[in-house]
Amino acid sequence: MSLVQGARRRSPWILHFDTGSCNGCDLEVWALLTPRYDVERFGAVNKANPKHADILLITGPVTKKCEDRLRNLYEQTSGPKLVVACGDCASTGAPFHNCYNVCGGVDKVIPVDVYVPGCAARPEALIDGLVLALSLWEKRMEEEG
Amino acid sequence: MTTEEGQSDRSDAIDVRQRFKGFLDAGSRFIALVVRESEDGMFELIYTFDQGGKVADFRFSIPLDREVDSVADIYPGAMTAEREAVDLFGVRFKGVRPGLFLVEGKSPPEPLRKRQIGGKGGDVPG
Amino acid sequence: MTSLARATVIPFGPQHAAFLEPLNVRLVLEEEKVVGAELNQGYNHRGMEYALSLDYKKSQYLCERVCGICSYHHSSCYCQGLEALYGVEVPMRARLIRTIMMECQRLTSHLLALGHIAEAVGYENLFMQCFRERELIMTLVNRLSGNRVHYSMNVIGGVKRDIGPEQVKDVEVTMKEVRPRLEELQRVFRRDSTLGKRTHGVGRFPRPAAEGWGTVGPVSRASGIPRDIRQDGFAAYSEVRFTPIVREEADVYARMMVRMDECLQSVDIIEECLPLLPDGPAAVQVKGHPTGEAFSRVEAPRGELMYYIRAKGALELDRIKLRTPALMNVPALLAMLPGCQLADVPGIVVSVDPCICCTDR
Repeated sequence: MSLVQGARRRSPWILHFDTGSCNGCDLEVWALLTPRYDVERFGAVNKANPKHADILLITGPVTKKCEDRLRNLYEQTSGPKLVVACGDCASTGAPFHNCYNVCGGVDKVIPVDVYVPGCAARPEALIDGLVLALSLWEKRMEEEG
Repeated sequence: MTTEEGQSDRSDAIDVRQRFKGFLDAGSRFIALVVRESEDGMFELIYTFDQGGKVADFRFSIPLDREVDSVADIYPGAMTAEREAVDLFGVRFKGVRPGLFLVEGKSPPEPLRKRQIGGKGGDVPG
Repeated sequence: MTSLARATVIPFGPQHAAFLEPLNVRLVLEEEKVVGAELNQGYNHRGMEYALSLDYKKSQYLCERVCGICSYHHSSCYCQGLEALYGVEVPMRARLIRTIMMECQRLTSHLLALGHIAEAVGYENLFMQCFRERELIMTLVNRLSGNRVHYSMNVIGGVKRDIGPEQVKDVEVTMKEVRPRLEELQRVFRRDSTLGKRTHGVGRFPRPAAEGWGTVGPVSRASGIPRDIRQDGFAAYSEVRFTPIVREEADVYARMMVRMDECLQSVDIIEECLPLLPDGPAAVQVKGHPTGEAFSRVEAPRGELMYYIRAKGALELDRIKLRTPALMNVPALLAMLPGCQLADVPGIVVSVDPCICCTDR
């Protein structure tokens, strides 16, 4: 394991982006960052800069105006990167299915690695999803060498 | 009671700016501009105001292609309401540009109109 | 006049550390001073007015998904409108339960906004503290409704989830626990000198401007306008003593303090409601499809929320229009931002508590 990999493993920085969510899942993502749920114990810190981020937490169905921004953000994030779709809307687009300005779930625009169910996704479920993402991420780092 | 039937004024050709100013001068507060497409193919515009704790409004109907005077210069708070009507219904306001909510070329145009793609007359999901 | 400084344009958002949600502000700067601002919204426009009009029965759940921060206010406002169309009188018990839950949600929303302001001016510790106290309320509403964000307690005609005697006790105990913590927060917000330096006199929005832009809620109350729909006594607000909290400074500090004081007021209202809970049913049945039109208003955490509902005696609604408070408050940024320093922009933007999912729907 290289030095970079060892350092990375301890600090999976996250980027949170709302692509049209009702705010319910965003609140819970923020609850993760605060004392009660505190994901910083896994080394996860919210960084607003895609170039610094390793894990993307995406909430909400992708609206047509957010589609290009989401793709941009994904492309700017350096690999190995993981995408976690937080909540039902981000996973499948429901309950905004068939709304005229919605593309659907996040996987319609960028590849998604972990889906977290729930409306709104509970913080416990989000932590579970994040931990799953971390194990996937480590595997991917090893593959890339 | 929360649902108030205040005074309501129904007329067709009407000087919007003057009526709007009249309500403001009487101490009312503008709440919202409601647009709906009536059964006979006209736009009905409902300007609602808070009048001492009650909802009062004045409303009028116009043909689909009629241009309406904007009130944004006398009341800046009405600007978003007008831009919203331009986007969602295609109501024409003098000097008001579209593009508040919708992205040209991607979102369906005038989505809340009846018999539009994505509109109510179209493919309604079960 | 010539100036050495050339105007620079800085895009602020849609994805930015200070924002929970996507909003884009295009700032025109001369050196560090903001000389112009332009708002670009619509990132969150999903088409809720179309979706809500498809089936009025399903919409009583869907309307909570307009906004997760004030979800219960949305569903209360919607149900209130349809109850008016049906002409039914909602039982007192249901009205009190709605009032209690609305005030709980106001607490969570205001603590979020306060934490957000603290974070935007760089006071991370206070942000964490606000969220710590907020979790007390979040777990309380979780015990009451089974959900943390979307309570799903309303039906047309009342509430479908009653509050039992032991839950009343639970609310009482939690409020007792929350009050001293909120008082401590209030002391910090009021007296902290660093926070004061970043908020006093910043983002001035005097009363005439507030009247012209039609702002509502804490933003206008911080500009000296004593306007609060709770005075009109929807739900059970007619049963409790209520005077709106008004401040005159009209800056970020005033907007922050109005929210802080309203948190304690919410605790007062909840405590006043609890002993009033009468026995009896929590909902009445409604029959048939509604017809007619109704305006329904409630005071959401961000201000006056209005639903215009026009029903035509079918499952489909003819028109439903939502006037959310953020729709009026967010454009007012155009009046607050010019003249301020670039470093103050996040604080000012956050001080109006921009809820983009409400603004764009």
